[in-house]
Amino acid sequence: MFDEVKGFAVTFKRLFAPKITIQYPEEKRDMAPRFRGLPSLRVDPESGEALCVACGLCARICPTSCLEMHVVPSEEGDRELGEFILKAGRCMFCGLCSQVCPVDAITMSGEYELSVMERDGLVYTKTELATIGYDQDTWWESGLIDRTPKVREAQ
Amino acid sequence: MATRSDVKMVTGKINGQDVTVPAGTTILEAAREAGIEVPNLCYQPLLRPWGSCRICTVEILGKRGGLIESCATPLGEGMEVLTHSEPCIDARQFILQMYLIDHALDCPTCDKSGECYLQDNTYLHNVNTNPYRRPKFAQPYVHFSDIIDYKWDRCIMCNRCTRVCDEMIGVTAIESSYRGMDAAITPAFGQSLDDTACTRCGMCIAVCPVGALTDRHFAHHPWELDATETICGFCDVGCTISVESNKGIVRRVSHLWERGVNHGYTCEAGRWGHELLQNPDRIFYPYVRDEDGSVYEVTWDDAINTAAETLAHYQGDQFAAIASPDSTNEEVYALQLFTRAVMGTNNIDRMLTPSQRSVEMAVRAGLGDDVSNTNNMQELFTDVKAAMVVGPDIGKAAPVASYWFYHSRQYREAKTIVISMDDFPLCRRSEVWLNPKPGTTATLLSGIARAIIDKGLAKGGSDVTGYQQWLATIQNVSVAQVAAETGVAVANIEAAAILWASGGAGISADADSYPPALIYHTVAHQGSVSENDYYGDPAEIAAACNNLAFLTGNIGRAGGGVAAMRGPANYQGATQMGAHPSFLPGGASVESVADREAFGTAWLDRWAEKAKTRNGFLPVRSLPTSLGLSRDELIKAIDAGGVKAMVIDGTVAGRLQLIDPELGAALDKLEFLLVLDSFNSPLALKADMVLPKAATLEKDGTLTNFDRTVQRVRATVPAMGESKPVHDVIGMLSERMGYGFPVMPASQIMSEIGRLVPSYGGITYSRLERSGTVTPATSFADPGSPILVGGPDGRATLSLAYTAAV
Repeated sequence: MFDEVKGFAVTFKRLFAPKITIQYPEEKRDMAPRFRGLPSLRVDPESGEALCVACGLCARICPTSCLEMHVVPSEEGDRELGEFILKAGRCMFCGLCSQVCPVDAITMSGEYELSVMERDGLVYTKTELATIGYDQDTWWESGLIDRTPKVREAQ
Repeated sequence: MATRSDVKMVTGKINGQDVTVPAGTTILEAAREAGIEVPNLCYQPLLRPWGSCRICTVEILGKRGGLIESCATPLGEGMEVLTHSEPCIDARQFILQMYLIDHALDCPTCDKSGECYLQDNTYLHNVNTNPYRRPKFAQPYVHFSDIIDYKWDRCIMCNRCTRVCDEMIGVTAIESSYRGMDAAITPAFGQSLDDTACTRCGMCIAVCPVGALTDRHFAHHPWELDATETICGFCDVGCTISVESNKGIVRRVSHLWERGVNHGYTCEAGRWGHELLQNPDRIFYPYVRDEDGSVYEVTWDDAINTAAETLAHYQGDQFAAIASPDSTNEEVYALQLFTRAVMGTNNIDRMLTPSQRSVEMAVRAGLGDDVSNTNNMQELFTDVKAAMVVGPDIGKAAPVASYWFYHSRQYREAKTIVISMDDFPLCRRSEVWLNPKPGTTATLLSGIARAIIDKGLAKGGSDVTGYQQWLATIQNVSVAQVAAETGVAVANIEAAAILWASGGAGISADADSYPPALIYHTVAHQGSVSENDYYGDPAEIAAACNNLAFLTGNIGRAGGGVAAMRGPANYQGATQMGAHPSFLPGGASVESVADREAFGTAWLDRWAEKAKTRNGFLPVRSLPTSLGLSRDELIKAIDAGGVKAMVIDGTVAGRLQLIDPELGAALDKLEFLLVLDSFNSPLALKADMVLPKAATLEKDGTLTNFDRTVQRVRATVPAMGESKPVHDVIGMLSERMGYGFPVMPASQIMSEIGRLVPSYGGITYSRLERSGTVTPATSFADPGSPILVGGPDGRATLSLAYTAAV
């Protein structure tokens, strides 16, 4: 008898404690601020325009050559992003692309659901990456400003 | 660059190393010769020193030494120079920091990043921080024209662009304006660049050490591109260019300074001509056109089968071929081989304009051989003392050749005489510009000849065939009468005669010591450069130019000679490769039994022993003996139904209009016309079958420029669609028709040419890898013959004859 009560003690104790299991996929986990998910393209939060200046440094630094940048000359005389292709099947999520970007146009998003039925699904284009990254902070800021435990405590 | 032996030499010491250079050589150039690289921003080979960037500061040791800019200081006798001492490095670091205060520093998006002189020097000198700072003055791009952009905040005001535009291109279309912080490069006199004399050569972009002037069509980084050195295929100057491509598309043409006949400089066609590769008119696949004009794309196999079967019905003199004067030597050789050894006829010619045809006639009559240049263009850097330029605007006909006239004027004080109805910058800068009335250029040249004889400046040429007859005609000419006829003042004719015949020296007692003088004429371009000007019969003008050169003894002499600019990139090569109704490769006559035998043994052995006769098609067992049809005869023969089938190799110049409209009209009467072309040109529109031909940048081969220099063309990008070089097409056709000339690499065809053609005896691809070779070069050890001489003595001879054309 006592043994049963003793055994259920832990159960009852946990029954009223808050749940820690995350009901994936209904519920999604809040990733760490500097989690390295799929690289994505950011937009200027104020004007809503793409930030990328098409310098091509991300494609140049990519150790697995998973980024491909097609640049076209712009009307102003500058360069403009024609197409931007990320072959996620090759990406090793090192984050060098977002580190090298001179205008922080590319950032590592929290996106980690990368399973696809066909390999073609692993090829992301400019529009898709912009959809993922439109509300992303820069990688640095996302870690430093409001989500660090220190800041949270202060709030 | 070659230097003359009579120049005084000085010896100095650079970094402890003895350097001996011609007097007047700057410290920077002397150091480069000794293998010491002095960093610089505003120095550009062949341009006047400017001394504005101060990065090339070096230290001169000794009592009166100190820091001095090396690009503008000549090396003195016994001078001791340190190029990398501590004070030099300190000074350079300071100067770089000053540059970087106001420099845009937008390297990631700058097209120049990766090959920028300022960037390189900043790294080289470890300038990692800058104590001097202030807010940047950002400026938007200024669009100078549809191809050139200027970004002020990147500009370092080194004036390389304005100098190259002024000194080399001769147009002064851009200049530096305003002062101090406002200083900027602008189109001349604040006009739009399109209103200036800009030739759109893009050399200002090429020489810009930073990314201030940029190419609007180019948005890549140099590190993304693979470069291939090749030869430009747009005119007969034969410039060396570096073609940079990625993903199978040519992105730009860059410049190999101090390399090739052009020393790195190019014209508009050289720099932007590669865009033609992407032209929407390109032909990708073979196609046939049936009777009602519908077009069907076919596979190569089907096309070759049909072509072979059809052509088999027209063996012999019913067939004719026209080679392209801008195809490679190998392609032309293969086509004439096919015509002679498979189709058994000598009906092969090049596609030429009427002017080019007339000039060829005159040059053959006067020099005994069709040579575009008896001398070498590089002599403009060494020997030439006076130059006469005759005919339509040479700045449009052969732009890079025109650059060297400005250069020789400016740096070697060569005297320039221009005879032209076009008003181009060289006219304004020349000592004498004669502008004759339409159609009187030949008369004016004979007036000059008369004036030369009258002034006693004739010093040779009396031993040349036909001198007496010619002299008799020239005696009837008087300078005054010529002046009245041409509208040029007597004084000007005499001034031109004296200046040119005396090599710029003026009349002196010692007539034997007159410096050399050359003539360049561009009358072969009449009708294609400036449409309204009529200079006269090109043959008469070309003959008159030859006669002037004989008269003054300028043939066979360094710095003399006659150059007939023709236009197409491989005019000289196509002629030497036997694309001519009367001549086999190397200029051997088709009527000479011995020559026919020599080629016959090599060519006809390829027929199988027991090759079968099909539909009246026979293996050719001996080369055709009669002369082929000339262009006029060909038109008549087509009209009369004598010639029924033709193969024509298309040209770049014929992309938009027919090169020879009369011949073009006759082509409609043919039963079968096979055209090989890169573009859907008017010629291709007449064809029954069109085969896509690889463009110059898409194939391997050799081109022979107007200096007779054979240069290597390399495939820079894969050919568009299913295009193939002509020799591959001929290979497939021949195999199909039972003749054993397989598809083979261009190098193998060249080794066959080398075996059979004496003047190409020393030419192999391994030799051409290093640099071009001047023909005639009979063996591998033969350095080639830049200067052809008259008479029977020299090893590369011309048979000279006066042509009494006027």
